[in-house]
Amino acid sequence: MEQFVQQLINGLSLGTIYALIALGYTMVYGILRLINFAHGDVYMVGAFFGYYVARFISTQLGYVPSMLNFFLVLAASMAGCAILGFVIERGAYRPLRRAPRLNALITAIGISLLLENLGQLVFGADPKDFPNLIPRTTLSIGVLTVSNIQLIVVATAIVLTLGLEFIVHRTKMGTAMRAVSFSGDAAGLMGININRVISFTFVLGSALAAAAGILVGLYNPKIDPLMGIMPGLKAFVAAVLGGIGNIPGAILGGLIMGTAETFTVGYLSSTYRDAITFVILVAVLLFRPTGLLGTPARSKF
Amino acid sequence: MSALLEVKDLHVAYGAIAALKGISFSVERGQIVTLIGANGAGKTTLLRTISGLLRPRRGEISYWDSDDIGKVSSSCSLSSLAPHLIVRHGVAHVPEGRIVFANLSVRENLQMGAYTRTDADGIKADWDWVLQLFPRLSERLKQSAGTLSGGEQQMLAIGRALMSRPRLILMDEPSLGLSPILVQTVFAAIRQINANGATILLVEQNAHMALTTAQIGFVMETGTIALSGPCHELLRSDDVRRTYLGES
Repeated sequence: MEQFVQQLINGLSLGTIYALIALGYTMVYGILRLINFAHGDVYMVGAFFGYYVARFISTQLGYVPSMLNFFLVLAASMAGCAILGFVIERGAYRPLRRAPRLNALITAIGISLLLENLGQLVFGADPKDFPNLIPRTTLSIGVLTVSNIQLIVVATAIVLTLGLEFIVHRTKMGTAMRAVSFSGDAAGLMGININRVISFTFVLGSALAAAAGILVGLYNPKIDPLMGIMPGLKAFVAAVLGGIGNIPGAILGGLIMGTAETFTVGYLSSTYRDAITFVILVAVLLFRPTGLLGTPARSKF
Repeated sequence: MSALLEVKDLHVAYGAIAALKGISFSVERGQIVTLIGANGAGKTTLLRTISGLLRPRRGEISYWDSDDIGKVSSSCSLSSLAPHLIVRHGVAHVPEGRIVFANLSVRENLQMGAYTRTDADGIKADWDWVLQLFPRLSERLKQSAGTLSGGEQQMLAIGRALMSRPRLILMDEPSLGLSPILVQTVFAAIRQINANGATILLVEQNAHMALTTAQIGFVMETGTIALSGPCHELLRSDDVRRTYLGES
């Protein structure tokens, strides 16, 4: 029983990271019907932005590990990836707006390969140790242990998700996003500049992926330029599991993926860590292709 | 009377298939003008081209912008503008099949109609007017638009268009799929909107309703305008009566 609860805690904190990445997949799909396969690599770049910013503030500014450090790194990396997401959409996807959808999909895979290889060129292929942003402590509650890092990961993910929820449901831009996801033509007739909404969606999704990159750096402090591939795929499966295009679905899917992974590692074997992802994907596609919260046809968000 | 919209020699094609083959007509300020014709005549294509959803191969769409007191300020070409910019000139489009945002509430749909505006007082005035025009909507503001009946969705689509305070409203088949009583309600609203100052370009399959509501009519046939004139004359024309009004 203790092991079960412990695995659940570990799984949920891993799951919040998948959820943050899955949100970007699902929002872009909701608006453009495009699977942005470069999204996992944006998350990788986010982790590296964080790495360099953290090194800069500790060596140049002499900051010692603290929450302030963490917030600075998080904000800088989210801003950096927001710009990256904007540039990717502007440079790679917008010129293909009227092309067949397959062209954009292939381009997404191309951007993914580009970021991975550019990452190896610029950052180096060796894994790097993510700097210690926050002094680690462990809390014991009975036989269970929770690290402060896990709490920070979950708290940050919750705050970001609530922020996203606010933007999507309480702001004019968010309402416009939902309108565009329903019908781009009708949204255009309202005077909504669709290109701006699409840019905004990429900016939001990429900033969330960057946050996931920083959180993973806290959690599991080895980062490398290919680190985005597996979490990217898992987050994609999480989005499909929840019902692609559906925001609460992406969060639910991420949490399920995270717990499924830690339970597999804990009770079966760590060999199947990644295999479980694809078992889930195949199962969803066979039994519930619209995902858990997805509706057939065209309801988004 | 002065022209609000003038279309000259408009050609539109889907790939190799020509949908509009040289359409020319104009809409005078303050009128209700109707376009009738069979399926596939190009009526919807014409409206979608005016509002920027389709790009013409050839031809010109001119629009005379004016300020609120009706003083003509400038003429501009709509044929190269994106839809979201055309709305800002005061042209609203109630699309075929309504296309209300089913995932948004009725309130949010109306708010999206006013997306381009920042004049809070004006928005409030139009909001009140739309809800007075369609009291049914005010009971359903919190409901998601996808749960509305067909007639209510049509009212919402028209109300949403009005929220941009348009000078020209393009309406595509507002009576489609509605019960006769709702058709009467919608057409009464159209007359009221026109009386309130907006010019209306109305595409209809229900030729009888359209010709008795509008002042000027154009009959479209396979991408061209076959016939035009004041509606009371078209109603007397043997061709129109046989083909579109089902009389022998």
